[in-house]
Amino acid sequence: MWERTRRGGERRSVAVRLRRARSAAVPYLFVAPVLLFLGALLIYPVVLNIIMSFQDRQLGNLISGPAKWVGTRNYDAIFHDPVFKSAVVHSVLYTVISVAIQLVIALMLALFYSRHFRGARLFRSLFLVSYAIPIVVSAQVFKWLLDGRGMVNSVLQSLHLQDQPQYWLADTRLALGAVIAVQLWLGIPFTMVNLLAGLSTIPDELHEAAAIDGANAWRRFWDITWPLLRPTAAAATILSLIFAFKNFDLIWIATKGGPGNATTTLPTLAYQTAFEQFLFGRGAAILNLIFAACFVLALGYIFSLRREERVA
Amino acid sequence: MRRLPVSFSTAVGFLIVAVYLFPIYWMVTGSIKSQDDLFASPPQLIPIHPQFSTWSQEILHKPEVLEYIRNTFIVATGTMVLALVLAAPAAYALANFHMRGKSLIMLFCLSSLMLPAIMLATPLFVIFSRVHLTNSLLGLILADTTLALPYAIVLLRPTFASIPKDLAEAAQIDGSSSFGAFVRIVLPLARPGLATVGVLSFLWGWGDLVFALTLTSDESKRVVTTGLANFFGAFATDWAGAMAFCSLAMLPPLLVFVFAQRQVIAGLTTGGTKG
Repeated sequence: MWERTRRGGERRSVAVRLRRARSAAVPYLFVAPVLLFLGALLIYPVVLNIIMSFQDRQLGNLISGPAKWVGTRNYDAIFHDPVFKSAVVHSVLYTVISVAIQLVIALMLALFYSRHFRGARLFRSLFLVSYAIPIVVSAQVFKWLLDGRGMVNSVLQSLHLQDQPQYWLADTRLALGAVIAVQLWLGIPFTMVNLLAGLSTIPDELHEAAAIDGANAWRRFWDITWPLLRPTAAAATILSLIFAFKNFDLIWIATKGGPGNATTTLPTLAYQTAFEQFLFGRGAAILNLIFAACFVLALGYIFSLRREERVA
Repeated sequence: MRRLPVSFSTAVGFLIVAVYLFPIYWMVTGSIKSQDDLFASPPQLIPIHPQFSTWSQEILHKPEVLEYIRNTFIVATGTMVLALVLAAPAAYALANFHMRGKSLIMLFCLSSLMLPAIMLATPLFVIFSRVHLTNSLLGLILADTTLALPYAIVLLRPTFASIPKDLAEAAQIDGSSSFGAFVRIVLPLARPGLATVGVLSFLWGWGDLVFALTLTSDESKRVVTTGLANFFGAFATDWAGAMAFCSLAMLPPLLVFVFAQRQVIAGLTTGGTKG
C-alpha cells in the first residue's frame, strides 16, 4: 500500500516538474517562429550585406563561386566618387527640406482641423487617402501634373506667371525641388494625423482657463499647446525623416535619379550600383552607409519615445 | 475655441482637402478624357466628353493587367496572413510572459522599423537566388513579411497587454493549454489590433516596389507597381492609359481605406511609415 502511494507521489512530482519545465518553455515557443523568420530573412541579410561590402562581388560570382576580399576598397571607391557625394547632398536636402516644410504645414492643418466644426472629422480622414494608395501611383500622377504639357504648366501659363512651359522633372535646376515638393505632399498626412492625436490629449480646460486669464491665441499656442505637443512632434518628425530618407519609390518613378544625376539620392544610387552596374559589393557598401544613417535616426526615435513616456 | 462660425470653417476645411486631393481627382478624370481634352488649355477641370475607350483598350482588353492585379492581390493577402500568424503569438508572449531577452527583442523590433526595403533587397536577392525563390510570388510574400513583422509586433504588444490576464488563466484552469487559451480566448478579444496590423500589412504588400523590382523579373510574376514602372515604352506617353492603370491600382487600397479608416489611423499613430 505505502509503496504505491510513494510511487504515486513520485510520479506526481515528476509530472509537476515536467509541467513546470514545459510552462517555462512556453513563452519561447510563442516567440520562436518570429525569431527564426527574422533571423533568416532580416538579421542574416544585414550581416551578409556587411560581408559583401568587403568583397568583390559582381554578376559572375554573386550567387556562388569564390569572392575576393578587397578590404575597404569598395568604401574607398565610393568616397572618391563625385556621384556619391552629390547623392549624399541630395539625400540630405531632400530629407531635411521636405520634412521641415511638412512639419509647419501639418501643424497648421492639425491646429485647424482639431477644432470642432461640421465635417472636421471627415476631412481629417480624407487626407489619409494619399497614404493608403501606393507611392508608385502618386509618383506617376505627379509625373503627369509636372510634365511639359501637364496641368501645373498650363495653369501657370494661363495666369501669365510664365510664358514657356517648364520641364519640372526633366530640368536639372528644377528636378530636385520638384521631387521635394511631391515628397512633402506624401508626408503631410502622416505628420498631421500624429499631431492631431497629440492635440486630442490636451484638455480643453487648459485653453479655457488661459483664455479667461486673458491670454491670446498666439500666447496660448506657445505656452500650452506647443510644450505639450513637442514630444509627439519630435517622434513624428524623426519618423518622417526616416520615411523621406529611405524613399526610393517616388524618385525612381518620377526621375530615375535624373536628369543627369540631379535627383540621385543614396537609395537610388545603391539600386543603380547593384542592379544596373552589377557592382554588388559596392552597392552593399552604400547600403551599409544608409543603414548607419537610419540606425542613428532610429536611436533618436527610441530616445524620443522614452522621453515621451517619461513626460506622460 | 469655437469662435469662428461653423459654416465658414467647414467651407475652408473642404477647400483645403479639395486642393490637397486634387492630384487624385485629376488622375481619375484623366483616365476618361480624350487625348485632346487631356491637354486642353486652360485645363479641363470637369471632363466634358467622358469616354471609356481608354479603360476598355488599356485595361479590360489586356489580360496581363488583370494578371498584375491578381499577383498583387496574392502578395498583399499572403503578407497580411503570414504577418498576423507569426506576429500575434510572439506579441502575446512578449506582453504577458516573463522571459529573458524581452526588452532586447522589443528594441530589435523598434530599430527594424527604420530599415529601408532597399537595404534588404540585395542580400535577399542573393539568398533567394540560392534557394530558387526569385521570380516567385512566395518570395515576394516572404520579403514583404520581413518588414511587416517588426511593425506588427510593436503594434500588437500593447493590444495584448491590455487584455486581462485572468481570462486566459481561467481557461487554462479549465484544461486548455496556453496556446489553446490564446487562440480561443485572447485572439478574439484582440480583433481591433489584429485588424490594424492586417490592414497595414495588406497596404504595404500592395504598394511595395523595391522587392518586386529586385526579386522578380518574369512578366508572369509582375505586380501593379512594377507594371506601372514599366508602363511607358521609351518615348511613348499615353497619359490617359497610365491614369487608367493608376486608378485601377489605387482602387483596392482605396476600398480597404474606406472600410478600415479607423485601423489605418490607429496604425499611423503608432509609428507606421511606408517602405
